[in-house]
Amino acid sequence: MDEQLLRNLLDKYLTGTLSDQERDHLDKLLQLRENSFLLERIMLEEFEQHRFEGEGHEQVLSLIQENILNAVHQVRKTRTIHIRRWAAAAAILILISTSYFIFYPKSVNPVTTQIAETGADIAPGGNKAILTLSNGSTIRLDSTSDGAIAHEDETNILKTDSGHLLYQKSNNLEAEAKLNTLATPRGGTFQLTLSDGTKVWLNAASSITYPSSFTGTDRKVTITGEAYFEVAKDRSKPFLVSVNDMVITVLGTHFNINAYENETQVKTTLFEGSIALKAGQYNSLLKPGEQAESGNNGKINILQQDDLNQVIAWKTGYFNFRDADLPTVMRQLERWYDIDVRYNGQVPERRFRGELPRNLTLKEVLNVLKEVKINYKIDGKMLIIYN
Amino acid sequence: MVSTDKTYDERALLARVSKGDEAAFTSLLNKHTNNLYSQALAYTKSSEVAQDIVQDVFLKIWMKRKELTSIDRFENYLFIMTRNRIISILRKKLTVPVSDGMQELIEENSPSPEQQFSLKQVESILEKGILAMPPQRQIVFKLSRKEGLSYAEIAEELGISTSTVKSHIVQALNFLRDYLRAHGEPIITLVLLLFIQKFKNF
Repeated sequence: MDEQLLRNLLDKYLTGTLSDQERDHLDKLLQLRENSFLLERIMLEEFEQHRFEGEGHEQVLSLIQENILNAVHQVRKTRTIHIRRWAAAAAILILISTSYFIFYPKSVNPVTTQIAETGADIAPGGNKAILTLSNGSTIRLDSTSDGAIAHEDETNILKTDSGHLLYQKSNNLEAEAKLNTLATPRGGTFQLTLSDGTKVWLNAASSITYPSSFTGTDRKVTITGEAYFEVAKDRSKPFLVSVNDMVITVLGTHFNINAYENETQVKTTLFEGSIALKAGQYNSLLKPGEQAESGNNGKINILQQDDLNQVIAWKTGYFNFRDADLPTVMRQLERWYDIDVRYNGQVPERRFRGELPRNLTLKEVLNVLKEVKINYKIDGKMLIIYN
Repeated sequence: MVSTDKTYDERALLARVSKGDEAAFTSLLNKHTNNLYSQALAYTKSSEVAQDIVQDVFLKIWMKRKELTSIDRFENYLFIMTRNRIISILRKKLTVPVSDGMQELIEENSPSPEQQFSLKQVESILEKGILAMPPQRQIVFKLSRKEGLSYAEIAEELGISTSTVKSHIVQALNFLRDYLRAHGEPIITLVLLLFIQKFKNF
């Protein structure tokens, strides 16, 4: 009796024909335990009969699979960090969560939207880098195929996947350190595994200089731009990262360094382990979850970073902004799309919070700006923002 | 008990997954994501939420993959892992006033000039979506929403059961949700969300 009624109401809910009264009724019915069980039974039936399965979802299902497999790979790499990229929809807070964008303006000026003329769309960045060997020769990594691509003494250098460079551990402990440099252009990103097993992810317009094998008493590398490290444990050889005038000493940890020249501060964020920073006469020790900011005056400020996802969103394929102003957003776009941004008039006052996938084309990203009433024009590789 | 080929294959697949075989895991995804997604979508009426549910559960399954060797029927296991979340979303949706009928809502809205422009865009994409559906589903949907026939009337007219009619409607709604998501410009999905306040049944 009740069963048939419940089934009918449920069907109405599912087929979009439930009246307000019926909704109320169904709500009350489901408060009862036996109806709850009944609901579960009905749903199991539907599930086993594949009652709602249909076509038309290929795109979403593809996306779902991709996200799941990406997460699986992330889990395998960073066991202690549970990053839910798709759920970072604090965004769901915000108007929408589509695969397109999750932005909202903090303050919106009542300016009419005029779609300015724009030139050709610009593709997003991808796996691109240039490797410079100790003898000065260079190899463009986006155009070589996978496999062994070079040697330094007895260290084999392999390219695996399409965005990963691997240095195989050498058996020769006598060899002199041969310095190599891996550099990403604007619009490029790459991953590197050093001969000790340390993993490095390079963001766009960044570089890392390192020895092909670590033969000395320590492991020393130098970076510019932005990189994320997962340092392999080796108590006998501290790992040192030199960036600008600062040296970071590491003991088997995961951390991100953002040291772009056109950002006002070098930001070092620690995810796991412990690191010591030394800049001029300033020394600091970081604990996981802390971020050190060091400016020109050499002072180091330590603060609690509670949005770790945001710091390494770039590595997981997203732009992620927290109350970022327009120029901050633009600097990231400049590096990823290899464009130059100019402001015609005053810089519009806007604040951005949210996440955007990095595989969108420039126009797709800029569509978001239209939503917050920012006018712009693309001219070749120049993006002009009007006020 | 004699195991059928199907269960044997499934056990073999699960055994591989439990050992960390990603290709096997991908196979598992291929087999089950459509069904789970479709049910989640029917109950939550949101493509994004359904997507989250599917992604979360399979990631969890991967993290606990060692348990897979002791599972009898994977579909059952999968269902149990998602049912509570779907039901809780269902309950929430039942506490908020719901509107009925998609077409009516588009019309009854009194839009400002700017909104009206977007409304038309939504309508036009919906129309295209309806045309993109498989014939049987399209007919059932049109008879219901455009002609206003009851499910019993449609069933009689087409010579199918009312239960089949209902399945078609649900699948049609699912289809249109994803169609809008895939073909709508961001501005449209923006506007659509504003509608969702009035559009609960959609």
